[in-house]
Amino acid sequence: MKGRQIRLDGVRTPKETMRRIVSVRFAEALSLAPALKAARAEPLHDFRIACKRLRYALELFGDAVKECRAAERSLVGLQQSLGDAHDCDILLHMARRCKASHLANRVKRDRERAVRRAQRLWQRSASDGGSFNSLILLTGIGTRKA
Amino acid sequence: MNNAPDVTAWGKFLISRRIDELRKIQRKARKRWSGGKHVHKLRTHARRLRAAAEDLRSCISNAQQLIDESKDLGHKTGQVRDADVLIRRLRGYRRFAGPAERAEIDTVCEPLFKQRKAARKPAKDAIDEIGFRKPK
Repeated sequence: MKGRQIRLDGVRTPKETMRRIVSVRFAEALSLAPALKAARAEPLHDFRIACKRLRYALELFGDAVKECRAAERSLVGLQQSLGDAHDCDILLHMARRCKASHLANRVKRDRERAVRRAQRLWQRSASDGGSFNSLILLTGIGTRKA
Repeated sequence: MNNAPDVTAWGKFLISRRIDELRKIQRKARKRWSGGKHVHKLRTHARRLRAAAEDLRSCISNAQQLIDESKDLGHKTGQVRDADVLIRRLRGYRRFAGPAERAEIDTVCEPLFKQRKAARKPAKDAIDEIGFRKPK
């Protein structure tokens, strides 16, 4: 999935630029977060990529957004779990093609665990006082719709 | 490009820093090519550069070229990396599997070994060939 285009017309300072970029990437991740509920492979993959874009934006700006370090750490954990789920999706496909039912069952269980981990982490981060608070303050975007 | 001078200079600085990081890893990967650790690091840095070039597209003139090169490097090294990750996961499963499941795992592993072997040369070529030009 392609990331949203970011227009920087009218921004005058690096700080404004940074805020605009993080806002777009945060909004993108929030809009795709419902994928966690149904946990279908493709939407979950798109959500994983959106989280990655947000994380990379925070990393790029380093100390200028140091208040977002906790959010960055949550995104790392989230990416780990979503990455595990993604690997399981690929393996599941391969196992089914080879009619490997024992393996498919094991991979399915592993995938469910990875998705549950991601769901818990997202809920915790997006709740009041969670690690995304700094992102909400920086961007002015709420997480209620997530 | 229609940004304030401060923003443009800052954007170029951030992108150049990403390119420096990527080149450093690329040099290591060229020297000690094993298809493992360095490929993973290189792919991660290429993704970081691509994300930065997409975010700051309007600050630099060669953003699209950097995006395409990062994408190309990621794509050409992806097969090796994907196979590595999946094989490692399957090996982990194998330790706790019974005989029937072990046989299934071996069957699923086989094409992954082939994929990894076939993808090594194009991955190495990409690491040797792709260069990343800093924005002017």
